[in-house]
Amino acid sequence: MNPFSYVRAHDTADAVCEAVAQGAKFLAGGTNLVDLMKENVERPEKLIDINHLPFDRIESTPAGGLRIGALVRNSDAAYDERVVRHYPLLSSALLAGASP
Amino acid sequence: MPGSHVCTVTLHITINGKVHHLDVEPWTTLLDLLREHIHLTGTKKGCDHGQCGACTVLVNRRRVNSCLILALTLDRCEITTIEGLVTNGDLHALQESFIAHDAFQCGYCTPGQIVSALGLMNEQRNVTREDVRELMSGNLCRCGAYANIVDAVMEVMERRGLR
Repeated sequence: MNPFSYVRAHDTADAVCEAVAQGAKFLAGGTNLVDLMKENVERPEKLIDINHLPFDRIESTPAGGLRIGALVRNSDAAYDERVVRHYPLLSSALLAGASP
Repeated sequence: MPGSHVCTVTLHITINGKVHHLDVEPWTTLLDLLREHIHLTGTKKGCDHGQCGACTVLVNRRRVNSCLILALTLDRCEITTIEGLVTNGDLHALQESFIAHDAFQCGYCTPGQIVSALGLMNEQRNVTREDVRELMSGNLCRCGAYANIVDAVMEVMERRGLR
């Protein structure tokens, strides 16, 4: 893996501000990005860790839908009661698409 | 950082109940931290690309592929590896069950299989044999011991009322 620097974003504004730097990438779960970095497909100079931002929630919307935050883990979304009941295909697809 | 000096980050991490304060390079994966820094070599490096599950450990009681997670993102987290399953010299029920059911041949995938099964039990779901096959499908066994692995896991699950 190529060397890079690392910062942890404390809020959204902080994350956006850090992302202005050349070669910066956001790091969430990392299961795609870290893998690509091992093969030098991705060579970020700086990683901005956004795992502490409040995007890990699934919220019902007034229109009757769901808003799934960008940091919600696949298995959490797949087993969410509302997803299982109203979006069973999505739940099955999530469980089939990732492991564990 | 690219160039002349190495930039490290201080990490506070609990591994099998013991707190560690470590200076790590940002590109160190949890798997490499465990094996190369802490010398806990029970967790195996198989594909190093998140496809085989040999490196499965628990982070805050949940299963992860340790090869795909950067160690420095785990500040203040609790890690459980296969070495953490033994209590006072006694094997964990899953370890006993894997032995009783002959649930391995070469044994390379076994630590990942057992930790994955423990993670599955932590999820507190009622599961069938088919569910176990699917929910542990991220753990490959190239010897093909799957039938016995499922037997071993199901026995412990049944004892704990999870089926």
